[in-house]
Amino acid sequence: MYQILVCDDDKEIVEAIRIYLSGEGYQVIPAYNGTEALAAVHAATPHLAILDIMMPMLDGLHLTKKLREEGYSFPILFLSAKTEDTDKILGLNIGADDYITKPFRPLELVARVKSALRRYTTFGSLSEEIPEHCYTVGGLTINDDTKEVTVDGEPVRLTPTEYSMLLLLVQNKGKVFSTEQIFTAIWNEPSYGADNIVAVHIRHIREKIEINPREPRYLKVVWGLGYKVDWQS
Amino acid sequence: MKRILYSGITKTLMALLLLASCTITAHYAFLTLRAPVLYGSAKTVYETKQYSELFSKYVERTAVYVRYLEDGYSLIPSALDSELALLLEGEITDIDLEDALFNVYEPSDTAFYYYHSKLNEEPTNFQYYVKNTETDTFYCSAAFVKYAEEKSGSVDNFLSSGILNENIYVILNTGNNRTMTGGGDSKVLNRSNLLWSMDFLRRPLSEMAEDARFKFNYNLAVESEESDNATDTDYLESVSNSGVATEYPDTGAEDYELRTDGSSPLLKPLLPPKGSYLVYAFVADNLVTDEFTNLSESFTDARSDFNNGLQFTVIFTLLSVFLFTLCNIVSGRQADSPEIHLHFYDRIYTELILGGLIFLFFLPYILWECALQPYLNTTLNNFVAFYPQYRQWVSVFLGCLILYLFVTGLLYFSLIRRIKAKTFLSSSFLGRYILLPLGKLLRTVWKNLTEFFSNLPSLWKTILNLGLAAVWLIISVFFLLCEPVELGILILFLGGCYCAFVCLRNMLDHARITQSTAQMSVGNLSARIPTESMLPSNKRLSEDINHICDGLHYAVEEQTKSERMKTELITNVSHDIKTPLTSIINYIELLKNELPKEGTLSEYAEILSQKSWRLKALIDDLVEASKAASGTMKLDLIRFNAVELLRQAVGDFEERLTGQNLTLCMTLPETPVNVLADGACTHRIIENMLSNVCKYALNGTRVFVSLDLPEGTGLALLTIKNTSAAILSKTPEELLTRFSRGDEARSDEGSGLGLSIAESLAALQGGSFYIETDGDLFKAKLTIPLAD
Repeated sequence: MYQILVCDDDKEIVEAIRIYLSGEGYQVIPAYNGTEALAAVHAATPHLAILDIMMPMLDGLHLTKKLREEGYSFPILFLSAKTEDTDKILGLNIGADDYITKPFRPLELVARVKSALRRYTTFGSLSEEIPEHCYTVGGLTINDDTKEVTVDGEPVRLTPTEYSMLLLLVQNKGKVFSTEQIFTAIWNEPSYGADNIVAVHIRHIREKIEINPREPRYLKVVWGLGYKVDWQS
Repeated sequence: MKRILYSGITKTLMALLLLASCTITAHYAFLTLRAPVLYGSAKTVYETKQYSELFSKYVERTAVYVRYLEDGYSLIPSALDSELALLLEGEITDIDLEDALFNVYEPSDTAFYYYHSKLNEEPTNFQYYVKNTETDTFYCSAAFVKYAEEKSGSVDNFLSSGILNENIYVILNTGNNRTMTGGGDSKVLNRSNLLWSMDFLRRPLSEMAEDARFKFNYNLAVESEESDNATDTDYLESVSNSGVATEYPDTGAEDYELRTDGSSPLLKPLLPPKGSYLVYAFVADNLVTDEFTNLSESFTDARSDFNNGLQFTVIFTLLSVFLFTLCNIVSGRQADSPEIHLHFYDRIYTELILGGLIFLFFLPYILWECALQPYLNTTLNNFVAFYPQYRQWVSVFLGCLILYLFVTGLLYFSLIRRIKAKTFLSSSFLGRYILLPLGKLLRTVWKNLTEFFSNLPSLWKTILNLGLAAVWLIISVFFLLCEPVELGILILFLGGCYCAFVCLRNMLDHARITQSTAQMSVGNLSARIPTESMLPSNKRLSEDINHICDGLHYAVEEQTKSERMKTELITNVSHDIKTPLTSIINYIELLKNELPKEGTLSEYAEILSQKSWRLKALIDDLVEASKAASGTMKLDLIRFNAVELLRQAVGDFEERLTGQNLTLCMTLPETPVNVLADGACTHRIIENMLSNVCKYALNGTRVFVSLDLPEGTGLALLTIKNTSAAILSKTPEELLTRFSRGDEARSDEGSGLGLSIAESLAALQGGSFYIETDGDLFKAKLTIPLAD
């Protein structure tokens, strides 16, 4: 049973999260400020931590920094009402694994917790032997031999077109492809009149592999230039 | 630093140092000046005037002496004694004559013995050798023979070559009228003196006694050299006219006969010349101590004074200038107060101080002319030249100098303090009782006048100006018609200049006002019209415009500030709202899970859930709208393809559009359209536009999306057209205001901020967003700046 540290100065939010996570079979260690959270971690190392940023005594950012400095490597999820891009980037840079904005959908939170845990626990075994024709980006894995796509270990079903598009982007991780380039690569013909068919397919892929398609973690859009596959940090 | 510099002790010390430095400078300047005053630029003593004069004098003495010997001094007619005495005036002093009276000599012998003792008996470095070439008799002193034999072995050797090694020598030949001088610079040897000597040897005495030039030349040789050239040539001419000595008749008549050849009357010789003479003369080096060695010593002294004193003069002059500058700076300053300290004598009338200074300026001259010169009986040049020799005077002189400098300094620095304290005028009699009250009166009158004229109504001002112009024209025409015409032209010209000046100023002012107001009108509210040195009327206008702009600037600043504060407030409030909202959403979800799937309670919970999410969307939109409007949003402008962006955005909406049975008709350019904008921001605008279409378009209609490049605008134009489901009862302006929705009845979707946000964002990235309606046709248009 995984132990998850939940820290927020709003007790009701901690309680609600506790209810959802215990429903999924996780044990929740509650904490209501940064120092309590730190003490709880020192008492018993959890498998994952959900931290608010704005907290009394010790805020989430400093707490994360401290924990990472002390050598703890368990995943940390930020939970904050701050929605600015700069806040998110700062949070992820300081050592967090994910950033969830308030208010959140309970199911999304659970999904993100699961994803983070899976990545954390299975990371070791996966990295031992990477089969040939197997590509990974974060928790996304494509096995070109078996044509299997998994996200955090969960298999995902894609149509052949969607599969080849994703394969193209994953193979060229970080590289931006314009819709025209993607079209030409998949259908082997110029894209006149094809208009937005690529965008539609991309949207479908996203709905299948992302927890929140509006805030994609893998398949990202670069407005005006194209699409790319990249891991958040 | 200032405390030390301005303290009383430092100032006194500095003044004393200045006094000492000035005195020393003057002393050294006197010492140094001697040499140039005495000797000019002469490098050796032989080049000096004094030396050559003395040498010439001795040559002349030799000539006179030899003539005595040749003619036989006792044979000289007694009738000529007095004339000869006249000739030799100044040379034989009263004392010599007195000697003669008490002595064994005959009066006519006195002169002969004088010369004899000068040349042969008194110790002298001057050596001579005179030879009559016809009779082969020669005259020289025993000292010469000894000297010549020591130097060259024999007298003949010495005369033919040895003499040329002497520092200064002269060889005269009366036979061919030639002279030869050597050693030093021969130019300084006075040629007329040499000619005088030659003539004295070969011309009859009676003739010389009558000839004024002889006396003149003799005196000239002693006194000055200035008129040399004129008399020199005259004399040469006269000599050639009268012929050289050999042309005189050998046997002479004893009578006087007037010769009339040439310009000047010449007397026949009384006694024929005995022949032609060769005269050798030179000054031996330091044989004995005499006039020549004295001259040489004083020259050496003056030279060494000059060489040693020059550096001190320069150093002390620089030091004096430095101290003087320093004293000027610190004079009157105080260590503990910024005010100028005035002494009691700084309040005496300025005129008195100025008068004193002027008097002091002329005092040295007066003193010299009235007291020192008569007493010392010397010229200023000689005083300077022999300054160290007036030993008893040097200390008196220095004492006087110190006193003089002290008083001058006292008065001078009093003036400086007055200027510093700005009491120069007010402490003077003229300033206090005449100038200052007059200035005050004039200023008041001027002020009142200008005020009066500037307050006149503009009509009166115009009339006044026209009147002045008329008066000017009438006066100038009057003078042009009547006399003097020049005055008329002058008045016309001056008036014209004044008019041109005013017109030019007016044009310049106008140009400035136009330039600045143009800047203001395009939005540069910090621009101001520079009002300095403007005409009064233009200045007033400019200041008024500046005031208006100030007000506007202030209002705009306030507006921006309040917008920014509003944004901050909204952002902070949104954070505070989101925390309880999180709990609301979470517990509604829990509630929904607990409640049975069917029934009214479940429906209620569902409504709660929807509305709480809408609340979240509202808050997000509100924050964004406020950020976009206040301009606090940071944009990352990059170059990208607008067609690509449009495809990406439309792709995301494909399903929502088809879900509402809307058909999309896109008209996009084949080639990429590169724009310079923020990608995410542009996407947000297009998203809002498309979302608007989804909400308000009539089901089953077509939606037209087109991207055009209107020529000459530098913008890309995106147009989205759809048919509205409801009647468009609002004007485009109303639709763009915040919280406005096309259909007031539909309150479940949207915040009413979408189009407003789109408008603000479009403006932020340099484009525009606007709406056009035509019946049911709704057109949303977006322009984006092109990259190229």
